[in-house]
Amino acid sequence: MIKKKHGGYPFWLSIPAIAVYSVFVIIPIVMSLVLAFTDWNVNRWTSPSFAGLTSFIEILKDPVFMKSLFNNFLYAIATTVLKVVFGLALALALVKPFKGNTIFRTIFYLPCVLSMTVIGVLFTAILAKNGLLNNLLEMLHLTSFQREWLGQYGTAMTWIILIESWMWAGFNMFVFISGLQAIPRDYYEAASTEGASRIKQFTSITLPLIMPAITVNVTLNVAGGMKVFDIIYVLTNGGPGTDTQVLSTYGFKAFSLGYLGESSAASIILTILVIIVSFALNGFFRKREVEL
Amino acid sequence: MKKKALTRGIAAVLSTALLGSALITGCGKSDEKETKTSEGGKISALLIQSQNNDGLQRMFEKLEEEENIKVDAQVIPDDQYLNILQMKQASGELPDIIQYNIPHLYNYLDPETELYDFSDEAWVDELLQPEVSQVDGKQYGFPLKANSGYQCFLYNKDFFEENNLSIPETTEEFDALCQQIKEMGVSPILLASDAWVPQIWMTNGYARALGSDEAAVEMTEAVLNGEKKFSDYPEMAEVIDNLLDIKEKGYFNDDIATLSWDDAWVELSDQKGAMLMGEAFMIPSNQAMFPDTRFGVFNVPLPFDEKDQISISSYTSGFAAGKDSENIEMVKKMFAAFATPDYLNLYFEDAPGLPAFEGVEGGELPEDILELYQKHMDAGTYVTEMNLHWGSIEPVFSEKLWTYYLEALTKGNMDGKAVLDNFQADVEKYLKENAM
Repeated sequence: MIKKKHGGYPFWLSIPAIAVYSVFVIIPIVMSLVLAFTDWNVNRWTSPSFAGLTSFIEILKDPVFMKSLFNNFLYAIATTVLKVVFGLALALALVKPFKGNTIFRTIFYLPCVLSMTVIGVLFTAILAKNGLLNNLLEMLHLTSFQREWLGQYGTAMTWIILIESWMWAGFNMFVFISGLQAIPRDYYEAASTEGASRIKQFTSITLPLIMPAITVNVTLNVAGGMKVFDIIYVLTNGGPGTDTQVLSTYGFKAFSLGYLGESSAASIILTILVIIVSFALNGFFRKREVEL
Repeated sequence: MKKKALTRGIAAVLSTALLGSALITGCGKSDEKETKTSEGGKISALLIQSQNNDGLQRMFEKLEEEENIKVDAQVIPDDQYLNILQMKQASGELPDIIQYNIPHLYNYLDPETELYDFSDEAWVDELLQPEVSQVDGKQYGFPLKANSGYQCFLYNKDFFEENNLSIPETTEEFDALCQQIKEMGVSPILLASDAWVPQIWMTNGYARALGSDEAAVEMTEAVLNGEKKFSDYPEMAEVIDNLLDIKEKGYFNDDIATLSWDDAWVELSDQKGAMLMGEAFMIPSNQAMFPDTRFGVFNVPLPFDEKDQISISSYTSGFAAGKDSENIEMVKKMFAAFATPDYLNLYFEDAPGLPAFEGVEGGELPEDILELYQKHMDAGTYVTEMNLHWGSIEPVFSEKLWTYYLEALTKGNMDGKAVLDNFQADVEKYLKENAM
């Protein structure tokens, strides 16, 4: 009887959530997995045939796919490093209460609630040939630094990474702030008494104790970075040419050509990569977490 | 017990009242629905984003107001349109009406088996150019515009007049003109990064380089049947190389990779650029946006086209209806209304063009647009743009070939032959993928 009383909520309460999740997540993933091994396309909508690994081989032979894969990793790693570093720096600056603290927190968090379309329009205007950035450089007599920022691979990719990091550093900041606030002040007081420097306190107390926050941020950032689509789509649409393509935009282009089998194969590769990288990173950081 | 009985009683009364009111409301709604269906109803439509949707919206609103027919439209971005259309076709979910360039649409939907034949409708007799939207004399589409688009150079007339510049008639004159404009610190030709923009040079150029529609059809069939390759037609690579040569000479703006089409028009109006390649009928709508600038048209002389032909874009925007549409009677009613000046005038209200029907006000068109068109029609010096011949491989040329053009222009990593060799591989793959 006691067991029944404390046994949690009845199972049927979760049925709507399971149904929605199944219809919109589980079933499409399973279908993609199956269809990736077929010759499915718009002309064989209802009659795809088993084609083995053909779709996977086709996309692996495509240099654009390999470039997309490289861009995906570059983007995921670079944005994760920047978001974590800047997020932590902001958290350290804003964790102590001071006048205007909440205003700064709100300002730094604001970019991640902006619509990606707005971000796209905003930065396209800033980075255009006659945009704000080049005009500013002209005002500062730095015309030699003026560029067609989104027209070349290096600068386009750099700006995409910087914009993404700018958008989400505030989110990382909040996760770090919750981690930092959970560290008892006694530890720092004891360390100060023992004569430990600020840097020593940071490396020996703060970093190990906010490891759970680092795990959360790194895992979310890398998984998000691997799945990137919207920022690429609104800023460069994978261009110039195919230079800033990533796996999601590659799959999207394959879909536009009606190559649904290849599009599914690209999605499956992306899903597998996200799962492997997320689990590996999670495992790596979890081992370094310290219990309070 | 008494309290419980009272509660039950109140609950029963309330339930009865609620049920009753629900039934009454339900009946009311049902009656209302019945009335609406008998008077009008809803038509599902698939619309392409870049078309004159403001004009269409005005027509739809009038239709709802006067005929009680509501158009439930799904607007699709251009680069996704054909794919969505094909998926709807494959899954048997075609909407009641489909908007597209009618001659192109016939490449995707078999008119005889998939589209409704409107040949018996009264409006067919009012069409100015019925042959453009007909197949074997049967009317499977409802055109809004007449087939009169053509590709040409659009230029800033004020800039030309202020600087005493003349319209070039030979390739040497064209080169000298570009050089002169370049020396003035102005981009002679503006080229935007939108994938569909640079391709206008090629869809125009291929047709003109091949010299006739017959030659273009023959080439297309030979390549699509696998009998020949694009490399067997060196004049096609020459078209791309000519464009790359113009780029090399510095006649284009230096921000090809990022300049948008809309901004190119701003720069043309601001005299930061002097000319751009486009469609003649882009002028009226842009003239409305830049009322202080006068724009003109001329046919650019190209080294591979000695006959100085214009390339007709064969663009007849309009609708077709699925053969199995359950709402075909409403669609007929809609098309009958749309064929009248009362409705079609709304379409051309702020985007002048040549209407498909007699008696419709297409708006004011600049004289030189019509003159150039008429001159080439009279002389018989015109060809149909290559994109029309390649209709059946449209997804692959718009997704792949247009990207190669941009890459060749912005990165200089391919010449004409390399672009076409890459495209050859894409076409072969596409044909293999789509073999039934």
